[in-house]
Amino acid sequence: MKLHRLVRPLLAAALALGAHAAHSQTIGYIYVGPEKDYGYNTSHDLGRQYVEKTVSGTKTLHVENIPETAEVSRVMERMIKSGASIVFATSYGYLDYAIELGKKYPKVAFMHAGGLKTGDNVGTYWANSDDAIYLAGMAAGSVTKSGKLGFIAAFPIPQVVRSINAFTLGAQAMNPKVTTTVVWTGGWLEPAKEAEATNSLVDAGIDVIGEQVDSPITIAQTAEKRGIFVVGKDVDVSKFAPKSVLTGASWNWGPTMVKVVNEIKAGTWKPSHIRGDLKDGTVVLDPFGPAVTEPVRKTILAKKADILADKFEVWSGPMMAQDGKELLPAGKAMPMDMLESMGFLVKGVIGTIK
Amino acid sequence: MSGGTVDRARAMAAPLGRPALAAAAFVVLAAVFFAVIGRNPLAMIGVVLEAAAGDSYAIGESLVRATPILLCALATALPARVGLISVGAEGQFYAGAIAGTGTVLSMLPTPGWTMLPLMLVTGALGGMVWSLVAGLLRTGLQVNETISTLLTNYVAALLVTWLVYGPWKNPASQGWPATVEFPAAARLPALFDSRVHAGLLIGIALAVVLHLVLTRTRWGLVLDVLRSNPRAGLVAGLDFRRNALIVMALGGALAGLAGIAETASIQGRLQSDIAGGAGFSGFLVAWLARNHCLRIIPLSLLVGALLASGDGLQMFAQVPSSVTLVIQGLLFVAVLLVNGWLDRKRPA
Repeated sequence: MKLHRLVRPLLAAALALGAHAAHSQTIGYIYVGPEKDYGYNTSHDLGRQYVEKTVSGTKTLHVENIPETAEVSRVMERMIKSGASIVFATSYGYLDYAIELGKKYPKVAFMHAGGLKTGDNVGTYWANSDDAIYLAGMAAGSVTKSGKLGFIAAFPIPQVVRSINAFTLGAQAMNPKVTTTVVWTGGWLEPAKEAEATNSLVDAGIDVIGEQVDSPITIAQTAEKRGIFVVGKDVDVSKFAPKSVLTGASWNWGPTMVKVVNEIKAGTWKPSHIRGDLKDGTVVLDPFGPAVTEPVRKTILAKKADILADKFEVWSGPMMAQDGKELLPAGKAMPMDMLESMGFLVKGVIGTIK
Repeated sequence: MSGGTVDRARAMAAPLGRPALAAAAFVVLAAVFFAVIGRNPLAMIGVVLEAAAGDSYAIGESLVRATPILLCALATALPARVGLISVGAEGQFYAGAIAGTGTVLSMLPTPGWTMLPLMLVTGALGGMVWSLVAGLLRTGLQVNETISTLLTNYVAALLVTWLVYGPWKNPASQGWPATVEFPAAARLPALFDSRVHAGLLIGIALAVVLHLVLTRTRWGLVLDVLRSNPRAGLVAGLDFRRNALIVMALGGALAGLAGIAETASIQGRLQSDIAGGAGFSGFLVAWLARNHCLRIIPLSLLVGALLASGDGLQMFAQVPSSVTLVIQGLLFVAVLLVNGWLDRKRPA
């Protein structure tokens, strides 16, 4: 305790934190990977910066590269001991630790990304990218010359399988003959494997690649070098690959986070599952790259307008499985459990979920 | 250079003097590094100190991190007494975690008071069996133990992954690969109001006992002979194979104990990646301590504190995690420097 008192003022002065001493609220953010991954973690850090800028009297603490083990308990608790009254635990594996710690600190609010459980003071937030990926897939389908698309993905979990299918369905809306070849990297952040997968897809004649790994940056930069196209996810990386990026499905967590923080401040917050999408702006269709022609842009934006007006539903029939069997008859919407636990690939996808 | 100075330097290099000198060298190196990256060295070292030992919470977390490292360092030091270089503590850690978890799961849903002792014993046995695989390969087939322990590390870690994705997966965990939560009966007693558990005391006690056994008994002498002069050992009729198997088994048991204690008391469930490099940190600690069991205690605490303070450094000083990795690396450089300097001054 003594050392603590001795060091604190020294710190405040030396690190020039003193100017912000009158913060009324401290918010902690924990990331599973590098904050500057230009992907999943960067998207959450952009949300953090937005909160700090938008909500006055707010100070944030942030820590990167924390594994999904009991390590995260220590980090969350240190944040709380340092005055954090809200903790954003942004990785799936943090959920149980947040709920456990929530019991010890009932006055602290925990927000978890993507979890399916809540606690008395633990809520979750997530957003559905399917619509934006479908629209981005339309861009892919319109640009491909070979009719062969690729998709580089981390793990065959429902969330990723949905992206592969949405991407393929969108592309087929523009060009019914396209196929999507799937490559699994077996990890969220495997830059070497991602570059290798991109190169081998290009060598196989594929000219547009979609992805769902931690960050699109490696695939986009490799594609730029090889002169093919990509569709991004999580963060717009077009400034690193200006010719290659067609568009993408990015997160925009800031407004959701600000809303939650304000509710917690006002005392009106109740833990729940907050779920955003293209409609409420938590998911954004990125600006189009130069390779997407004006008529194609118009078609995609018209489809986007249909989605926003509930006139078009991505997950509706007719839909065929990979082997040609009918999944949904024409006009039928996909049941919720089939969507949430998606364990099939649609017709035109080359690869297996294994 | 007068002999007096050398003697004094060597006197300081007694069990606690060497780590203290290393700590001082580390502070100097870290200060230089902070200055190079344009941060105020004093303030930054203040942050590290605060995050590692600034209050009872920080001290507790440092001890939590040090506990498995201490046991894994002992697990490395013991085989080294007969000249075996085992890098298998990480795998033995996981093997212990698996065996102990098996005990806990088999005793559910009616855990009694026997659960904790049985869990610890089977955990230690798991680590022992895992270590004996490498031991037997060495004594029976002359397979290099460094290679075999290194490779079996991966097998053990993957075995955990397979178990928690498959047969041992908690059906209520909504896809997250982990076992069910352990009952309270499987937790080691906690010290004070912290996450520090009795495993730390067990580790320290074992370090002291091992030190006494290795330095004060005939068996300790036997091991020394086998290590430093195998030919003399052979002539004297000392059994290398038998003693190699004993130290491998005991070492494995220690790392296995670390694994199940960490699983039960800190994680509360078995899942992948829980060792967090404790086995490898333990190897480095043992190596830096020259396999001296008493010296392992302060060095484990130092390394544990530094690892535990990494997130605090990120949080309070707004540096990327790579800076904390560099700082952790500098600790090893500091110990190397001090060891090298003191040994150079040792008369030939």
